[in-house]
Amino acid sequence: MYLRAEPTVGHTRTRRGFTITEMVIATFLTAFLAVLLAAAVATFARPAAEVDCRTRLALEASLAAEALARDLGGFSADNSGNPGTLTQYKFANWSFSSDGTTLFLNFQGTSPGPPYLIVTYQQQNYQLVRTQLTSGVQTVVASHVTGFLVQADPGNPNNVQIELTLTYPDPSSPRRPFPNFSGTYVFIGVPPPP
Amino acid sequence: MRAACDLTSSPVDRSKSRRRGAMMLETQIALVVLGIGLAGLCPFVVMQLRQLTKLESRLVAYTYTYNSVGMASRTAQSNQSYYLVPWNNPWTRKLTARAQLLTTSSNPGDPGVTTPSATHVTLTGPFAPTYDAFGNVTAVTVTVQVQ
Repeated sequence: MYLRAEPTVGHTRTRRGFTITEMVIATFLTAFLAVLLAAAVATFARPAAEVDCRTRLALEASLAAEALARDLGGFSADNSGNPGTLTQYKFANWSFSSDGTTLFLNFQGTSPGPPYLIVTYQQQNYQLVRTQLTSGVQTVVASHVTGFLVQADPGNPNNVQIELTLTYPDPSSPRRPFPNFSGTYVFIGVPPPP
Repeated sequence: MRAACDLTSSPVDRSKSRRRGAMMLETQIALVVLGIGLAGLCPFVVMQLRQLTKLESRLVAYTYTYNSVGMASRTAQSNQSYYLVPWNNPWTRKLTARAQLLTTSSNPGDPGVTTPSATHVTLTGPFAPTYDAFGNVTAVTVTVQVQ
């Protein structure tokens, strides 16, 4: 029995490769799995990346809003820990540059009237920077800033409207620029009562 | 007999009995186990996305723009702007030094400039009037605690 089956059976039962039918089925299944995977990425990974970008923008916008809220509260937020009287470090007025890229906040010093304690907000290298001109101290308030525009509120000229545009990843980021997500936040400052 | 079998079988016949790789059933079982393991990570991903969404909803942008490769930019408008409203009470402004971030231009929770009331002032000492030679009250000394 073994002698009879020796040469021919061994060669015929040894598979040297795949048949064309197996290859067609395998290719079809691979393509089907690729389509399913692409659909899963489109429905799951893309919204996840979008939420990630929006959250980063919301975090930076929250930091910027907090800094603006402290400076627009009616008194200077950084007067060396000395609250002083109701007339000291009191908010005097605000102004902005003609192109709307810089916001100036003027506060009274230790005595009423000039010289004022001036705080500015402006965009520098995709960052929103707060500067106290008297001391020269600069503070980065928010990152991923691609736009900062200050103008009078169209609805109420007594108010100031601040448009802050954030983009993640911003052009300075080492990450690839696309896909990116932008959000424009609008803050309206209301002047404090006299 | 067995010795004859070994002697007469060719190398091809011996290799037939060897396993060339994993069986299909074993591969499927391995994939199922891997899938169950990956599915176990899904709740963590969902929890993370919920937390991120909650954080994102704290401050909504006026407009959102999503730029991607090979796709048209998508823009969503919420038209939500925020007001930075200072407190009406000057001492509140002085001591808190922070405007309120609101969706309206006025703060409905602001009590305004209030005068001290019985809930703010507590009499902690005796009421001590001072009389002149004719018995008229010329001064009153009180000790109060202002809250």
